Amino acid sequence: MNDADLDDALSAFFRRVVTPEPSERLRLLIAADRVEAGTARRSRDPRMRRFVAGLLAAAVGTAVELIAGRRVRRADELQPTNAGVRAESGCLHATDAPRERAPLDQHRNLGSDSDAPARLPDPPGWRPGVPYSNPFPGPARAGQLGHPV
Amino acid sequence: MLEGAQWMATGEDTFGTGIGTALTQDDAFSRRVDAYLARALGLACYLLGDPSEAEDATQEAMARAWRARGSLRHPDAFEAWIDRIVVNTCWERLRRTRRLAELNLASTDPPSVPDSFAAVLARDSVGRALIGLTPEQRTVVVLRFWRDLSLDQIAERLDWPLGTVKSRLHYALRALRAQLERDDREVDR
Repeated sequence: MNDADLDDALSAFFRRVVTPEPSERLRLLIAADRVEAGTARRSRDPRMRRFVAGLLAAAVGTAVELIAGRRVRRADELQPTNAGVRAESGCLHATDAPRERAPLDQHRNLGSDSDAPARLPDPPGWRPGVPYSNPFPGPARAGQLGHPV
Repeated sequence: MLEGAQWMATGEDTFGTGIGTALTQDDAFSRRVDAYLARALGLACYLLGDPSEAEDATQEAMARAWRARGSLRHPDAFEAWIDRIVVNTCWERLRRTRRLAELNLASTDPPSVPDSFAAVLARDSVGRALIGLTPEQRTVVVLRFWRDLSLDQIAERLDWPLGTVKSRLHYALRALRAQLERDDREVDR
C-alpha cells in the first residue's frame, strides 16, 4: 500500500462514516450549563466587584499610612551624631570613627548643603554657648554626659 | 481587527448601560457555538470512539468554552480555539479512562443503546486501525483527513510545532498502513 492508496482509504473512510448529530438532550444540557453559569456570574459579579474594590481601597490606604508613618518616624529619629561626645567621655566603640566636630553654627544651619545631620530644636530658654541643663537631676554616673570617667 | 468580545456584538446597546451589549455578545457566541456543535461532537466521537462518552465530552467542552469566552480575542480564531478545547477535553477523558482501566474500575457494562457509530468503527478496518493509534496520532489524522486541515492549521489548533505535527502524522500513517496490510493478509488467508 503506497501513500496515495492510504490517503484514498482514509478519505473514503471519513466520507463513508456519518458522525452522530447532537441530540436534543445535549443541546438542552449545554443551554442549562450556560444559564447556570450566567446566573452564578450575575449574582456574584456586583457583590464581588464591590468587595474587591473595598479590599483594594483598604490595602492602598494601609500602604500609604505605613509609608507616611515610616517617614515621620525616620525624621523623628534623625539626631546629631554623638560619636564625638562618646569619644570625649571615653565610650568610644571600636567601630565608631570619631567625627570632626562641626562648629555649632554649622549644625544649626538646618537644610544647608553641609553633611551635618538634622538636629532637634533647642530647648526653650537655651542660649547659644551655654551647655544644656541636665533634665534628669540626680547623682551623675560615670560615662554620663558631663561627668568625668 | 476588532479586539476582545466586541466582534460578537451584532446589535446596539439599547439600554445604554453595557448590559445590552453583553447580552448580544453572549447571544452571538451561543449561536456560533450551536452552529459548530455537530462538528465538535464529530471530532469527539472520532477521538473517543464512543458516542455517549463523546456527548459528555462535548457538553463539558462547551461549558468550558462558555466560561472562557472572554479569552477569545479574534473572530477568525474561533474554530481553532474551540477545537483545542474539544481536543483537550477528550484527551483528559482518555487519560482518566486509561487510569480507571489500569485500576480495574472502569465500567464493563454494555451500552444500553445500540451504538451504530462504534459498530461502524469496529467493522471497518480503517476504523479499527484508527482506534489503535495513540490519542495524539489519532487527533492529527482526524484533523488532516476528516477536517481537511493543513499541517499549519493543525499545529495552530494543537499548539504544537509544525515539526511535531509532521512527525506524528508520519508515524500515524505508518502505523495505519501496517495495520491495514496485516488485515489484508488475514483476509487473503
